[in-house]
Amino acid sequence: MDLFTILFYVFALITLGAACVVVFSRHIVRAAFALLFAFFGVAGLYVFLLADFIAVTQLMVYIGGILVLIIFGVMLTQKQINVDIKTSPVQTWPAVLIVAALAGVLIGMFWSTDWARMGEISTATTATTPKLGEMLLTTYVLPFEVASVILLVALVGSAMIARRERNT
Amino acid sequence: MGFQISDIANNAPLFTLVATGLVVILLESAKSGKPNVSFIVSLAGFILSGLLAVGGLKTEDVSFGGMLMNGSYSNFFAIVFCLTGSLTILISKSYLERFGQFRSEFYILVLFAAMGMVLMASANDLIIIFLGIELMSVSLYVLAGFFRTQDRSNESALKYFLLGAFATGFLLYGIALVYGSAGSTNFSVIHNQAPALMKNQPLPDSVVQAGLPDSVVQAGLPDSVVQAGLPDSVVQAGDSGLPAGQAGLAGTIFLLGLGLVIVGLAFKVAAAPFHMWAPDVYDGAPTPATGFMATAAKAAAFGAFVSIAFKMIGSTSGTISNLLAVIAAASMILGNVIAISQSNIKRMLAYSSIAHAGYMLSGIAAANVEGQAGVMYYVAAYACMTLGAFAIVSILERDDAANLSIDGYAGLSAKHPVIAAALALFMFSLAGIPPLAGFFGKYYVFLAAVKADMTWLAIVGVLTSLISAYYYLRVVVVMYFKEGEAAVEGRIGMSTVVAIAVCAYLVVQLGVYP
Amino acid sequence: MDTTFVLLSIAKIAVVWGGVLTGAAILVLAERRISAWIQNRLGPNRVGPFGLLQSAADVVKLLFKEDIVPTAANRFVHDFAPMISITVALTTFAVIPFGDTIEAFGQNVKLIVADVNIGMLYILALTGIGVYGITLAGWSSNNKYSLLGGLRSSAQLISYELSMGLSIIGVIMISGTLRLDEVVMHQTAPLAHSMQKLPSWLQWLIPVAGWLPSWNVFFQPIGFITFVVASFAETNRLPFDLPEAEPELVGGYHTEYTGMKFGLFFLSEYANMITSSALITTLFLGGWHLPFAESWGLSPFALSLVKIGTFFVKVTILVVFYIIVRWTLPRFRYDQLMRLGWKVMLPLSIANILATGLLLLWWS
Repeated sequence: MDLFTILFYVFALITLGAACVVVFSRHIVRAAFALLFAFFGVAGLYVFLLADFIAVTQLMVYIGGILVLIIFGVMLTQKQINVDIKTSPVQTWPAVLIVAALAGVLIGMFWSTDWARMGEISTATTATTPKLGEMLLTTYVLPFEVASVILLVALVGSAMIARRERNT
Repeated sequence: MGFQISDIANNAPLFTLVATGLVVILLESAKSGKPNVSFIVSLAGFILSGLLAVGGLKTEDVSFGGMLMNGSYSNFFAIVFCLTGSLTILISKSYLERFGQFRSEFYILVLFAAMGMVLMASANDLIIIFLGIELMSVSLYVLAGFFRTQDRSNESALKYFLLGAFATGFLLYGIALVYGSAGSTNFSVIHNQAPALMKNQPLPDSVVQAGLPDSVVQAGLPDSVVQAGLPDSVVQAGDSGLPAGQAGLAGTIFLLGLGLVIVGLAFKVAAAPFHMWAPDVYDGAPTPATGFMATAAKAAAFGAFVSIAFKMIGSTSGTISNLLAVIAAASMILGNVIAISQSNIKRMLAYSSIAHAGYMLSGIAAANVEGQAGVMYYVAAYACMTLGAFAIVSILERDDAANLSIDGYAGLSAKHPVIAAALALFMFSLAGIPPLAGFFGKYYVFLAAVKADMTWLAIVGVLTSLISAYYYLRVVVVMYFKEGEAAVEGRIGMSTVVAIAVCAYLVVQLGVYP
Repeated sequence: MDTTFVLLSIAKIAVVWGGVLTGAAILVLAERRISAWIQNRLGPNRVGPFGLLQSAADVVKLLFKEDIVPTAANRFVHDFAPMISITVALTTFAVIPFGDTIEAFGQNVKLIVADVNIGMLYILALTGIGVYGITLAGWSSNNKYSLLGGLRSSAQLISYELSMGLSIIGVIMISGTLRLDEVVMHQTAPLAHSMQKLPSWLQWLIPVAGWLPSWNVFFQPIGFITFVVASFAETNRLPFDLPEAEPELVGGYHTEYTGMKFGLFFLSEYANMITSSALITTLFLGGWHLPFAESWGLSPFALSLVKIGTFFVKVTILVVFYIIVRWTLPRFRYDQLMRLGWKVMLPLSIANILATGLLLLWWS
C-alpha cells in the first residue's frame, strides 16, 4: 500500500462516514456539517481521478456556494434547529424493492467493469483545465450559454419574488 | 467543429427570443422602463421570431456541432410557441392590469420560457433537452407565483417547484444512465446503438469504455468526448463490430435510463400517474400563465418527447411503446373521469389537459409516422382551443378566485353572446366534435394507434372522449340554458379579445382545412 | 512518491508555516506600533527591546486564559469554527511560490509547497471555505451581535469573492495558466519585450518605460485595483471590517470567544493578511522577481536568497500598506459596502475582462 492508496481510503472513509451522518443524524445542524465533510471528501476523490478542475470546482460551488446557503437556511430558522427531525418510514416495501434493484444494478456494474483499463486512461491524462475551457467554448458552447441564460432567468425570477412591494 | 456563424442563422427564432428577452431586461432596468413598452417589444419579438420560424420551415440542418436539429420539425414547434407566447401576452395585459400586477417581469419570463421550449423542440442532444426543460421550468415556477401576495399563487408556485425539481432529478438520473450505457448524449449516436442495447447484445468496444461508471475520468479526457459530440463519430460507432463485452447489463441500464427520462417528461406533460401537481398549480397560477403552461409548456414537452421517441430511441422500442401506451390510457381515463366532478373551471381544464396529454401520448406510443404527424397536429390544435378557453376564463376572473365556478357562467350567453359563442366553440373542439380542430387531432392519433396494432388504446381513447363530452358540454349548457347573472363588469381588454378571435379562427381553420 | 519528496515537502511546509505564524505575531506588534505612531502615541514598548516580545507575552496570556463557552452555545460548532479559520489561513499559502528554485540536497527545489496546476482556483476555493469559520462562529455563540457579525461577513465575503475571482481572470488570460509559479515566470521579461507590438505612434514609449519589468500591474491596472480592494474585504480589514465593527457589534463574530480560541481567530486574520499580500505580490507585482538581479553575477544560491528576500520585502511593504490604510480610513456603512461590491467592483472587473480579451485579440 503506497501513500496514494492510503490517502484514497482516507478520503473514501471521510465521504462515506460523513454521508452516513447526513442521512442518519436527526439533528439538522449536525447533518449540515457532515455534508461539508462529504463534499470535501468527494473533492478529494476527484483529485485521485486526476480531475483537478472538477475537484476545485466542487469545493468552490458546493462548499463555497450551496452549503453556505444551506447553513444560512439552518441558521435563520432558529426555532427548528434543536427540534429533531421526525422521520418515520412510510412505504417501506416499495422503497426496499427500488433500493434493492438499484443496488443490484450498481453492484453488477461494479463487477462487470474492467477496472484495469482505467489505469491506462489515467496515465494519459494531463492538465484538464485548458481542454475543458476549450471545449466549453467550442463543442459545448450552446449548453454553456444556455446555462448562463438559465441563471439569468433565475436571477430575474428571484429578484421579482423577493422585491419590496412597491406602490404602483 | 462547434460553432459556426451559420448556426445563428439556422436558429434565428431562438436567437430572436433571447435578444428580445435581453432587450426587455435592459429597457426595464433603464429608468424609462414601462410595462407597456415591454409588452409591445415582447409581442414584436414573438411575432418576428414566429415569422423567422415560418421562413425556416424548409431548410433541414444540424447546428452547434450536432446539438440542435433545425428544420420543419423544430420550426413547426417554434411557430406554436411563438403563437401561444404572443397570445399569452395579449391575454395577460388586461388581466394583469386588473390585478395591479402589470409588470415587465411577466414578459421577460414568458420570453425566456419560450426560448427554453424552442430548445427542447430543436434539441438533438440530451443535454440540450435538459437545459431547455430547466429554462422553461424555472421561468414557469416564477410565473406560477407571479401574484406573490396571493396565497393561492404562492402555493401553486411552491408545489410546482418542489415536484418539478423532483421530476428533473428523475430526468437527469435517466440521462446519466443513458449516457453511461450508450456512451453519448447525442440522439444520432444513441439512435445507432439503441437496437443493440435493446436486444441486450454486446456493445461496440468504444461504447463499453465510455459506458463505464467512472465516466468522470472520461469526461476529463476531452478527445473522447469531443469525438462523441461530433457527427462523424456517429458513423464510427455505428459501423464498428460488436465484440464480446458488457452484454446484458448495458441494455438494462439503458432501459432503466429511458424509463427515468420518460418519467421526467411525463411529469412535464402532466400524464398520469405523474399528474398530481397539475390541478393545484393550474388553479393557483395567474390565468394567462396557466394558459401558457397548459399549452406551450405541454407542447414543448411533447416536442422533446417526440424527439426522444423517434430520433433517439427509434421504432424498435416495443417495451417503451407499451409503457407509453399504459401511461396514455391511464391519463385518458383518469383525466376525463375526475374532470366530471370538478366545479371550478380552471381545475376542470387542468384535468382535461391531463386527458389530452393521454391522447397525444397514444400517438407517440404508436411509434409510426402517422403518430408523429398526429401528435404535431394535435399539439397545435390543442394549444389554440385551450388557450382560447383560458383567455375567456381570464376575462371573467375577479379577485379571490371569484367567478371561477362553472355555475357562475350561467346566463353568459344573454349578457355577452360573442364570448359565450367563442367559449362554446372551444368546448366543442375540446370535446372533439367535427369539423373542429380537436376532432381531427383525435382522429389522427387514434388512427396511428390502430395502425400500430394498438386498437385497444384507440378504443379507450374514443370511450373517454365520450365521457369528456359530458363535462365540456355542461359548460355550454350552463351558459345557454341556465338563468343567471354572469358578472362581467367594466371593459374587456381589447388585446384579450384579439387573442380570443385568433384562437377561434385557428380552431375553425385547422378543423375545416386540416 | 519518494522519500526525498516527502521530506522536502515537510521542510517547505515547516518553513512556510513558521514564516507565516511568526510573521503574524510580528504583525500584531507592528500594527500596534504603527497605529501608535499615526496617532502620535507610543504603543507597547515595555516587553523586550522596543516591545518586541509583546506578542510572545500575549500568546502566553491567551494560552493560560480560561476558555469560556456560553451555556446556550452550540459547543461542537463553537470549538470547530476557529479551527476552520486557522486551517484555511495556513493552507492557502501552499500554492504561492515564495522564491524561484534553490539548490538543496543536491536537487533543484522549487520554492512552493504544492506545485499544482490549478493554483489560482485552489486559492479561490479555500477563500470560499474561509466563510465558514466566521459564519459558524457567529451562529454558534448564540449571541445576536455575533450572529449579525457572522451574517454580515458571509454576505460580504460572498459578494467580494466574485469580483476577486473575476479580477484574477485578466491575469489568467495574459499568462495563460493557472499555476502561480508560471504566472511569476511570465512577469520576468522586461516590458520592452511586449511593447514591440505597440502601434507606431506609441513606439516612443519603449525607451521611456521599456526598462520596467513586465509585471501584471502594468497590464492590468484595473484588475490590480479591484483585486486589492477585494482582498481588503476578504480579510475583513478596515474599511471593510463590518463583521467586527466594534461600535455596533461589540466584537462581532468573536464576541463570545476567549483564550486561545480567540487567539486563533486573531492569528488567522493576520495570517490572511500576509497570504493576501503574498498573493497580490505574486499575481500583480512579479512575485520574487527583482529586475536586473540576474545581471549582478551572483552565485545561484545567493541569487535564490536574493529572490526570497525580494518576495519578503514586497510582502512587507503591502502588509504595512494594509496597516496604514486601517488607521487612516473610516469604515463604510453596510449598504455602501454592498453597493460598492455589486454596483462598482463587479461591473468594473467584468469590463476589465472584456477589455483584456479585446486587447489580447488585437495584440496577437
